[in-house]
Amino acid sequence: MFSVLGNAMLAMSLLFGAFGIIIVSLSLIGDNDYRFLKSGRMAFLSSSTLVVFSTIILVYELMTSNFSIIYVAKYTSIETPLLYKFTGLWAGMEGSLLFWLVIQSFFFILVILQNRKKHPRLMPWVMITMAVIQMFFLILINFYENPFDPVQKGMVVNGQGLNPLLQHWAMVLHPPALYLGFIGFSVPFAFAMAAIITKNLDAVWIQTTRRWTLMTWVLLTIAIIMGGKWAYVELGWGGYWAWDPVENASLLPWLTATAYLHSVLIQEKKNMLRLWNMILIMLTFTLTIFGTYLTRSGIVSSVHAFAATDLGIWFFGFIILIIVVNAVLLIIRRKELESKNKLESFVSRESGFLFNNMLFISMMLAVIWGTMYPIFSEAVTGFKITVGSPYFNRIMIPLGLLTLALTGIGPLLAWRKTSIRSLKRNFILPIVSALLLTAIIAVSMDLKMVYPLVSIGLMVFVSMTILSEFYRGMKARMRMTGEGMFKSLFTMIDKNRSRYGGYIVHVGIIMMFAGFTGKAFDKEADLSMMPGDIQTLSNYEITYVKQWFESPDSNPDTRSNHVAKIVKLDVKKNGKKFHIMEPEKRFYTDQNNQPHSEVAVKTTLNEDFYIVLGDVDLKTGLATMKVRINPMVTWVWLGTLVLLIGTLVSINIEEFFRRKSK
Amino acid sequence: MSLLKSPNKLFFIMMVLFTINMVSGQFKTERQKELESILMAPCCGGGTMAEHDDNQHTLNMKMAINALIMNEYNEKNILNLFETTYSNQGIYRLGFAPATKPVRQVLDHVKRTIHPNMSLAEIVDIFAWIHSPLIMSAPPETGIHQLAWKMPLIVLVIGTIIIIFVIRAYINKPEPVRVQAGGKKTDTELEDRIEKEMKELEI
Repeated sequence: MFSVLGNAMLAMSLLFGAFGIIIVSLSLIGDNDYRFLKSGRMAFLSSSTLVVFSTIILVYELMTSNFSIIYVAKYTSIETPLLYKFTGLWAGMEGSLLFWLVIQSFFFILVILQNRKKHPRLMPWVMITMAVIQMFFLILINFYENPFDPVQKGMVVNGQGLNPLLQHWAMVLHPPALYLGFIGFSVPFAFAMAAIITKNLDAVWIQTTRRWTLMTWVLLTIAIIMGGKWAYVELGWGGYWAWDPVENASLLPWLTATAYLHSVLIQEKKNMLRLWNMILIMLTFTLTIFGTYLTRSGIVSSVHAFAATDLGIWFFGFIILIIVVNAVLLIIRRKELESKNKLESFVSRESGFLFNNMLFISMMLAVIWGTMYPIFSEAVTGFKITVGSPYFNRIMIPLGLLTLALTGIGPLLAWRKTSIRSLKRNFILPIVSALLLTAIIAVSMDLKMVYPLVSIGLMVFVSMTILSEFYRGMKARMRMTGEGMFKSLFTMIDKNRSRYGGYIVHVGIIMMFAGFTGKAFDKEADLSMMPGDIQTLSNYEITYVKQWFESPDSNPDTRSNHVAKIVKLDVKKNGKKFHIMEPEKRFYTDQNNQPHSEVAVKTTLNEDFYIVLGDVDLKTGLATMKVRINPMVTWVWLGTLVLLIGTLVSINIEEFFRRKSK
Repeated sequence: MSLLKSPNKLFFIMMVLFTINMVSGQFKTERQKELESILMAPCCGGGTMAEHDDNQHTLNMKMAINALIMNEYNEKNILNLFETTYSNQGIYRLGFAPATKPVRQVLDHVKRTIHPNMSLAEIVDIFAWIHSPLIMSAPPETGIHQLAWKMPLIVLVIGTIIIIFVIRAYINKPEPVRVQAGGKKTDTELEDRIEKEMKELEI
């Protein structure tokens, strides 16, 4: 009953959306009739609201296990825990498309309500652009991947359950964050389209969407890292990034968006790079659709991708449409997009930003090239070549280190022109400290690996530049105003949140690089042990205490849909008690007894002690396991937190809420 | 309770015994780690061998690799491990890079090829021969596939040249004309003000 209603709502949403596009287009023709615009706005609000309601219905059906709906039967079962019944919403193709659509609709409602009395020239085109994107997904859902399709024959007593890999807290948060990150870029994109169509090419569209862009960027960053956290604790191979095509798909728009966030500063401050910024935001949005195309078309092999469907052609067509429309608009408006101002020197912050952009775009192209190379090689040679992490690591590590170097160099360059004197003054201390500390580390640790050493040197260099920026600003403020140290620090940040927020983001990036660098020093061992055995690995001593078995009968609350073989290990570090670890081997009863290793990780600031249980014979107690020591992984997660704080400082979230409450 | 009975008990016991005897209690060598990252897991194409532990065939292959690079070279043991790995018909039905040669041919080839102190490339070649080059996690650096490696460098060089030209073009641009209309502030004036304020902050 409810599913029929949900279905009807999706169909009505499509009609309202189409009506809205027509009526708003009519308002633009002729005498710009405001009644048409108002009517169109109502149509879009209705269309979006209907999507929200139909999603609520699907969630209800998932939670109440209505197995008369194919989607519910496919991705949940009676035994699936309630939380994961909810997350079933984005577990399959149909539901995840609806999830995309509902976020798109939610953003659409927000944009309409936020700007109902603002930007009268831009808003009709903003609405049309967002509505076209919404319509694309509505067409797919209504005609191809309907999540409300009923089971045709017979009655399903119990569903197939959710893939065990998706039953993890990170998978509860990662997809929503990723979707928010992807879809959020449709807002600046829509404003960019409106700006270019209406020739309002000053910085208004950029300033209007600044918070959207920053928030979307940080959400995408969090989503990517959370995906890494999920891979780390759930896939059981000990790493967090494998350059899988689906991982790459999420990285592509992040790279262009990061380039955009930097280059947009030049447009805001100098009214330059208008064409370039327009290209970057168009590219970022196109890449979000391209990423979706990669995960849903089956064009590349990935464990993370959805099952291959014939939706790929639709996404491909949509991408071509976006590219053609964008290219035509850019060509038509190329004169208007030309910058009137000029640069004064090669050695300036503007140039630094341009080189930063070039690096991000190079990284984006390298990732696309590597991801698509198997298809290229098949087309050219008739044979598909695999492109995995060794390729990407070799290409991306040097590019990443160059970008890190620019993170330090950029802030030391002055706008317009940097004198030799100021170069000397600003660079000497960071360079000397970086060289000195790197040399000390290299000698004391007998470290000969080039990339880790370069990375350490650059991290010190960038940290010093950021510290010196804060110190000089604070000192100047203290001198001018007589304020105390902390007051001057906080006032300085408050007065220029964009700049200092950016520096805090850079601190987060340095911390993440520390985590990435730690990867070079990880250690791994395979162990086989009997109860009572003691194994020594480096400074760790592992005692195998016992093994046991748990099932839904013994633990109905925590193991409703799986049985588990568990081993207890008493781990000592440097002879002292460290941690009791209990890795598990699970078999999901609602998924044809699919096996799954539940890793045990003990995290400290400098390293993670990580155990994956291969298997255990419950009778004899023989257990095989993989033990890893992963240095500095925590710094990746901590860096993300600092990055989030920096972005919130930059966005000036407090001011945003203060303004809203007024 | 049938779940508790391992579906492949023989394999499990063999693996346990092998691991206990050969590698237990030691960290993997850099060589072993490198090999496991050069070769893809043949099961699903989602990652390298280093990233897969749940697949029985991948585990078997890891053991064969380990035997090939161990200090104590034991031809009989190596051949036994290859026989165990490729006698299992499941490895010929894998989704990503299944074995393409029957076990007899595999053993003949391995016997002919192996020797103490094999290089990484020689070991990779054995598996590429058995599974097809799809098992390699990166394109070879020969022939047309050099393009895979060189393209990013080409893009970087071209990008740098373009940026240099763009900056030069911006530097050589004529000064923007300042238009004073009815005392209204022009963009350039505003910029100067911003610049002044920024300099104050930058010291």
